[in-house]
Amino acid sequence: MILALLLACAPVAEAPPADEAPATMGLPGPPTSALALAGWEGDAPYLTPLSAPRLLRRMSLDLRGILPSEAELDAVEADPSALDALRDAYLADPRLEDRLVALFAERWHTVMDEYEVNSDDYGLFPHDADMFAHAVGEEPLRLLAHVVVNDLPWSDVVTADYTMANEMLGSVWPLDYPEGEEGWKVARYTDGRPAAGVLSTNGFWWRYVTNESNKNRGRVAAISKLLLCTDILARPVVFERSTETDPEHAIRTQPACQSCHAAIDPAAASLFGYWWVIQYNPYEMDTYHAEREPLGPTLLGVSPAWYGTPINGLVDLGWHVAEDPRFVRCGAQSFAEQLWHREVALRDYASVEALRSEFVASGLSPLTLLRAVTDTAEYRAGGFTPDAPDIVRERERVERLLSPNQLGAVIAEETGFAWTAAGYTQLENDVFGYRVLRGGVNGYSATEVQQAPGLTWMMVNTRVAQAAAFSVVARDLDAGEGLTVRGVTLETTASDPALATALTSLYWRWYAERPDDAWTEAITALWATVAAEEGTASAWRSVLEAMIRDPKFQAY
Amino acid sequence: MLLVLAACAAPVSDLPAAQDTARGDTGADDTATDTGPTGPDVPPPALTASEVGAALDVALAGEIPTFPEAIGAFSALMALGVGCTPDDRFFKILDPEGCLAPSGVTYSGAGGAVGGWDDAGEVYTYELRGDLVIIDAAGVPYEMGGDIDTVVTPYVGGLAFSQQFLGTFRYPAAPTWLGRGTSGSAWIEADIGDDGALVAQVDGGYDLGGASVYFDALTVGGACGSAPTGAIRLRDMSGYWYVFTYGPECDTCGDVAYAGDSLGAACVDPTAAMAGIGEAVRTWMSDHPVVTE
Repeated sequence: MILALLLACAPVAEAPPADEAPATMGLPGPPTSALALAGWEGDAPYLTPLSAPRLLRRMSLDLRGILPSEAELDAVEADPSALDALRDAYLADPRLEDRLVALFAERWHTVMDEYEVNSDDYGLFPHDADMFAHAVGEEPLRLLAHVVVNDLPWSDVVTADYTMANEMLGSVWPLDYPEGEEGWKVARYTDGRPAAGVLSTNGFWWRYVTNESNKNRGRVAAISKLLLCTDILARPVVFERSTETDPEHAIRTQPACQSCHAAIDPAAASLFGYWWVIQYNPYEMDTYHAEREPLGPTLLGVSPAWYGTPINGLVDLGWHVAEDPRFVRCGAQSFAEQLWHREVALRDYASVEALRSEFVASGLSPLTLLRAVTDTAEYRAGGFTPDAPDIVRERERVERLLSPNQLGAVIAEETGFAWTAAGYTQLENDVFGYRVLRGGVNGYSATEVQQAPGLTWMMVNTRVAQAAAFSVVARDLDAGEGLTVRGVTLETTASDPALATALTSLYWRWYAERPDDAWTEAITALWATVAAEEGTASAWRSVLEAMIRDPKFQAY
Repeated sequence: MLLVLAACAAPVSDLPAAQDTARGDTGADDTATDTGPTGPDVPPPALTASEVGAALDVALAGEIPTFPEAIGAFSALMALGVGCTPDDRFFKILDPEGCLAPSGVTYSGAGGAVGGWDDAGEVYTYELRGDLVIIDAAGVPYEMGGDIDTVVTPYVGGLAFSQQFLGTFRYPAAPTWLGRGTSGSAWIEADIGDDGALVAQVDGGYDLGGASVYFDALTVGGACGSAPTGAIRLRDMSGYWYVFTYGPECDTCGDVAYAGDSLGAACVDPTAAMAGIGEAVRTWMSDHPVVTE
């Protein structure tokens, strides 16, 4: 620990140059040779990997949002080396884009149920409210996902001269969305806003609003947290008691204030094209106000700059963010955090540094980074070595819970049940739905995905499982489609080997594990008991509900 | 320990900055193939100095927005709001369908206009504020998001006028600036003489006919007499700004700079636009004389 303190407190002048060891979380990195001694080599030595089928299931859920096929599971069971090729296929799967949007929503928090301007402000139909809210929040996330799936340099997320829009946004915002088209497509704003990737999207700024006193400063904090992994609000600033009554004067003169505002305010001065005179007004909020750009220096008393380097405004901002050494490292860190399902800390320095190096070497290829993260021990972890300390067991996520988005996608794919009501996707909203109750993120008050089971989580799972099981029986057994439950009918009995075959096959497909005899006997007994009392359809509904509620299904 | 580490960390601004590295260097190690950003390179100016002057002349020909037209159009529409706008001054209609008056005008949102002379008849104030849309009987929307605050104080020989213009106003059925619509955050201070003399200063930005223009203490009637002083910025579609600054010769000419570099001289005559401010205020006030009991 002493060594760690010494390393961290070393004079900045002794830190390696930026092009050798970029800063992380505002700190200089340690010399690599000291990693082990400092305990910054991570938890990898204490982690054991998942089985190949179970790992394939994790990859499929993370990258496609659905389960692997039985053939894919069979392939990696027979030859674990087939895993990498299947992972690469998943990275090329068209479902990756939607999956990334859901993943980014958990970190960027732009998807909310309501904004200061809503669908009714545009005269849209009430049943379009959820679609509109999702479209707004997904706009920046779709741009991020577009960069990833097309394997464009990650810096494009802050320099792209386009955004992503669907037909709804295209109809109400100043965009050149192609007439008569539908779906998410590349589009450009027509209101003269500069090219700055996500920093030029309405969706980002509608989530990260400001007001007359904040003057875009909170927005800079959002940029810093999301794109540099530097949480300005977490800085340990000590304020002295002051008789100062003018906060703006204090910000400009008090050393404690300046410790952050010296950097924040000049960056905030570049954002006044998004300075809305009246919030809640569509004419103000959906259009970029280029004529207000020069207001920043007037209202903040500083010229636009990025950490000391003068800039011309938003037109330069994205480029300077991209050139900040923390940006690339943050890209590596944030992908790792999302796929490891935990925050990255100093002990992960070596792991993240390896990812960053590979990321840079690839020309900031997001797919290379995704591939590299899925290669890490932390991602592949399924258990611990016997000597793993308790602290490692507490912090590593060797089992991850399906998010509401993943659950909805898997259930729809496996059972045909899509839970919607009044135009709302029930696991994706909290107006009529159950997103937060099921452990999801709503963008403002619930900002982290639930990592452990809870009461409402279980209640929602129960309802989903019941409805999904009902759907499967109606489709596969009543209608005889046999998509999920195969080789059996409603006339099949407990003693018929086809029953056990169908159940063990489902176990393999849903859990990526082979059931043991005890499970097969128990589930068959459950089936037989219910069948005897309520009939075979009810028996199937019961066992399917039980299997969906099983932790092996809900975790991955 | 993390707190201790963070506490003794250097301020971020002291760390090696991206700008200290070569363009496009994202912090790669020696083996990196870096295809990161290589910009931003300021694009060459699309306009010459004289073209900037001409563009500003065109922008200013559309007049500088003042309150009379915005309030006049609003008041006229409010007068048609029987059943929707009970007091003819304010309305707050949250139903997204709006309120359709028998006149055929639909009101939606919230806003109002209030003002007039103070009790002493010494100061005339008017505020128009709205987050609304009013659709007239012909189907033309008056869209508003913002407010315009006005103070007029008569004095012997003239009017002292100030205006704060903040927001977006658009009503295609109206003539001049309101018909074209504008977005702005700007302030005007003026002394408007009964004899036509004008001292006026404009600060802030407007969208003028699609051109983003920003005034830095554009003044007439000041140090240079009837000749203008101050500066006017014009935004290029690339996102960079031209800055036209009047010179010390007290004429209508000055230097045009782009991204800090001079492009040469140009001439811009704002006299008519500034005179339009005085004329609009003078006309409005003559229609709204002080009422004494």
